[in-house]
Amino acid sequence: MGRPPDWNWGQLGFLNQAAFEEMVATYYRRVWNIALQMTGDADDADDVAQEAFVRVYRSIGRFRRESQFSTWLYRITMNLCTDLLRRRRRRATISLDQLEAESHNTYWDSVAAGHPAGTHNPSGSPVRELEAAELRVKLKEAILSLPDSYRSVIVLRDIEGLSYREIASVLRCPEGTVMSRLFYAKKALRDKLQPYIKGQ
Amino acid sequence: LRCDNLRHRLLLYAEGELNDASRRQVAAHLTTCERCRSAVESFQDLTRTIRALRDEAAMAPEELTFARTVRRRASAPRRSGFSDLLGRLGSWVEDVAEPLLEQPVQALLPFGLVLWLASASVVSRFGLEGIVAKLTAALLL
Repeated sequence: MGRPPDWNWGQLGFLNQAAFEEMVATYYRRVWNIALQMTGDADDADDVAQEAFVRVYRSIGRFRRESQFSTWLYRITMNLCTDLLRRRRRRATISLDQLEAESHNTYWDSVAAGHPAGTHNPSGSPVRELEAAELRVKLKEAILSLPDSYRSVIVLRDIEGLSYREIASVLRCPEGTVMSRLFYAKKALRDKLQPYIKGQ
Repeated sequence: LRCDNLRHRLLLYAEGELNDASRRQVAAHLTTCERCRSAVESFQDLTRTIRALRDEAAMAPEELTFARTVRRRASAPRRSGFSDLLGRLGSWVEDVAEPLLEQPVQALLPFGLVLWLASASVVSRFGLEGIVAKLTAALLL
């Protein structure tokens, strides 16, 4: 899946219904996947993605066009994810066990049992499929266990495919910080996934 | 080049983000250092593995359903400034109070003591004893 072209400002500034819908169609799967990888929960990803586009719709007039539209949209999405994770952590003392059980019963099971279209292992070997499913679950657990600041750079870099400069702009931090966070995040992931990763 | 000086550059090399001069330096080092070569390979393998998660975008809700929900939410009347403020205040109180209410009573005792001392000091500083006594009597009777 290649990256979509950045939005046409003239159209979006005009904000007609068709232009808005085209923009949503262009970006919503990416925004949803960012939210999914950040929160680890499909329902939360729905809420974050919807809220991100609602905010774009309502505040397009306040958008300063010196940055790209996608950067602004991703920044809104990441801020919403961070807010949600903060609220979730505050409540974690209440129902940590319940949360774990829910995420295992819903999201992890769906990931391990039925991959989305296009992820089915073409080799067809049941053992390979099982290994791939297991690795996917372990990888997602490892990503979710990272601090938010590390997870953000992993998601924006490897899943969304942004450059270091774009990530720095989304997260409003220096490029050097992005590089450093990415290094430590990948080192942590590599350590957690040691049995599954080549070259260690 | 020593391995210690290369640590951060290995990831940049694995991701193809180094300039020519730096890339050549690292490549020369890799021909003689098995450990760093292995580190680069593990970063590349990890990146490939993470990129596979891109396809989970296909699990997003169907486009039409999503667009309709966004349109409905976006065109819903916005709450007024005052009710929005009340909503935020309520949510803040909820965020603060919920974790407290989940604590065992013993854990709340120091908190209660501090609150009581602070209130007592405010009452005595501003001479509010009379008002507090009247309020207490009104509540109790």
